[in-house]
Amino acid sequence: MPDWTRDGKLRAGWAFVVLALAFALAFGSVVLWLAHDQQRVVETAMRLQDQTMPEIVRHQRLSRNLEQLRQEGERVYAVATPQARQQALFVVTLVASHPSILDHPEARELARRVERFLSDAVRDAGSDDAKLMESYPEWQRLAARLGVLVDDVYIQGVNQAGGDLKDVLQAMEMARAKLFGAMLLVGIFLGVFLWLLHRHLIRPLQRIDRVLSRLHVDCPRPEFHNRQMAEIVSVERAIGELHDALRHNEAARQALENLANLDGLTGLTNRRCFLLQAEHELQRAQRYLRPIAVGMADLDYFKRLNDTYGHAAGDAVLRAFAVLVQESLRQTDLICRYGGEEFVFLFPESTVAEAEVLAERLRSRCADYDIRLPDERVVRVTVSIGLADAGQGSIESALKLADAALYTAKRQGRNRVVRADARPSGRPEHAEPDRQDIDQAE
Amino acid sequence: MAVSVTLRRCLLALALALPSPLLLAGDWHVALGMMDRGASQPGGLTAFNEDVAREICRRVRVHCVTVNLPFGEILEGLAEGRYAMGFGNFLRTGEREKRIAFSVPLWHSSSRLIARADVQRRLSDATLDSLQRLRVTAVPGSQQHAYWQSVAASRDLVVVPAGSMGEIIGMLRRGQADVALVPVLSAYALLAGEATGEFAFVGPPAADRGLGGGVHVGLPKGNESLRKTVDKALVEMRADGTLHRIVRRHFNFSLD
Repeated sequence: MPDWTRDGKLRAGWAFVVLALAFALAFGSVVLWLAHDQQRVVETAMRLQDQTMPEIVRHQRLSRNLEQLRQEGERVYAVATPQARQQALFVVTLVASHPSILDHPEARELARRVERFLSDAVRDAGSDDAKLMESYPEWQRLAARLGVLVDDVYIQGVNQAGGDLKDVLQAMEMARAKLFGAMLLVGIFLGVFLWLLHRHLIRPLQRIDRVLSRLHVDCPRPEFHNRQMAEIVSVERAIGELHDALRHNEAARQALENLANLDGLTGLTNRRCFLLQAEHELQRAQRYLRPIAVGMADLDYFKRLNDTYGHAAGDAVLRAFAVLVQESLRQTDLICRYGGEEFVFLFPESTVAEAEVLAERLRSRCADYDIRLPDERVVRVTVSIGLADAGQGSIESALKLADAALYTAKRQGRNRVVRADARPSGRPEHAEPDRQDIDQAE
Repeated sequence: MAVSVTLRRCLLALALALPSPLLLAGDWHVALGMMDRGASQPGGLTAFNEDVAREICRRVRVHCVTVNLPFGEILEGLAEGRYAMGFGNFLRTGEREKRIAFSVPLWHSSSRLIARADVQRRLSDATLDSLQRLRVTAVPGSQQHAYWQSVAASRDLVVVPAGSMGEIIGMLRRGQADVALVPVLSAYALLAGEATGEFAFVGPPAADRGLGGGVHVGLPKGNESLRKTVDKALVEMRADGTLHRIVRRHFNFSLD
């Protein structure tokens, strides 16, 4: 037993098979019906050719021979010499002996009677024409009967074809009506077929095409309704699953991207991502001769804070500072946790002086910012910031300048913003203690 | 073997599809029946047959060589394949069909009894079935002769064979036979030249018992393409009126 449905929906293949079978059955029936009429026409035509036509010819031949018999009989009375009369009588005998006359009982009887009458009349009259003419009235009666028979036979012959032709005509008219019916049936089936095809296949496919062309993770999950074909429903269900998979993949991709670009503790851009983005910003600014500055910040005495309150407190301070930086700087500024308690900033479209304003605002807010630790204690930290112009050279050289400025800020007492000189010479590596050394001292 | 059979079938199909004149290339020898041994009768049935034969030959584009033969020799010649066509006023019978082939009917015939007038008066009410204790005659090999032989013993008839159709009148006149059974058209030809009232027809005509029906052109048996060619020519002659014009040329009545 075939499975007609799947999940309560009709299988398209079976639907079309059923439709095709119904069409084949209906059309085949009409064709057989037509073939029956055609067979009737063929049989009638064959009968017309094989039986009726020969019969018509036979009647025509008989009619013609009877007429000739009448004419020759007339000639027996009309000719002037005994020889000619004998000649006419021979022809009468000849025609009366023709198989076509012998095959027809009435004609045979009448022809035999004519032949005997004329033979007797000629023999009895001898060479006496007057005596021969005495029998002429009787001959006229016989001739009249011959004439009637000629007409009857002729009409019978003509009528022979009438029945067959009528039969053929009826069959042809019936065949024409059936042919029209068959064409109508084909047209109806074709219309229904195309309508079903459009409704249950083409339109759903068009809808699927539209949905697929617009399928995106940001779009809501596509909805499909009232589909009858199991195969279409399967495709639509697969599209929904595809959309779910797209969203899932997008979320996974986003998570991986965050993992690669963001700092896990603070959520700020990490060093690798910052350097990439900063490099692009520097190229753009240098190409269009736009101002750009970098800053490097370091929390003052952070090691001491860690030692005093523990690493959890240090992490909380770092997170709080990250939030503060995001709130204090512009959205267009790049902020990065560079490592430990060290942060770097990039100020696009900003001179060092403009960046100094922003950095000062950050330093000021930080100094007054209460940071609640996990144990509910509140601490405050200060930050030292070094700024440098990044309009020339690489990001690394700009960061070196900012780092030197930061060193200066640390050395000058911390909690301050220092602008670097134009050339990176603020921190001789061997002459003065390294900033790391200062940090270690903190 | 299969290839050979297939090849033969292909060649046969090709041969049947080829135009008839190619298959029947060369002269056709045509046998024409004559009324008297040694000479054909001018005009009448023999001339009619010759015209029909020449018209057939013209239509199939072959050269015809006609030969006048006594009736009895035509069938033999056809059976032996010496003639392409034989005009012997052949009625179609089962016995003849074993030896020769037949064309479509050319005309229709029946048989009649003829006798001297005095004999006719004596047998005025006689029919073919009522004749008894008589000397009867017909041309050997003809259907009429076969009929006499078939009933001679039962009716005490003496069958006197006639050498040819032309001898029958002489036999009747000399009293060598009482009645003769002849095809009607032959009877017409025989009596047309005789004195009025000397001979007469006896009884009604007969077309049954093989004594009447269609008259065909005799053909060699086994040559189907020849038969089809002749039939086609005859059908076309009948359809375009040529056959009827030939009849009118030789007879003042219809043979059809």
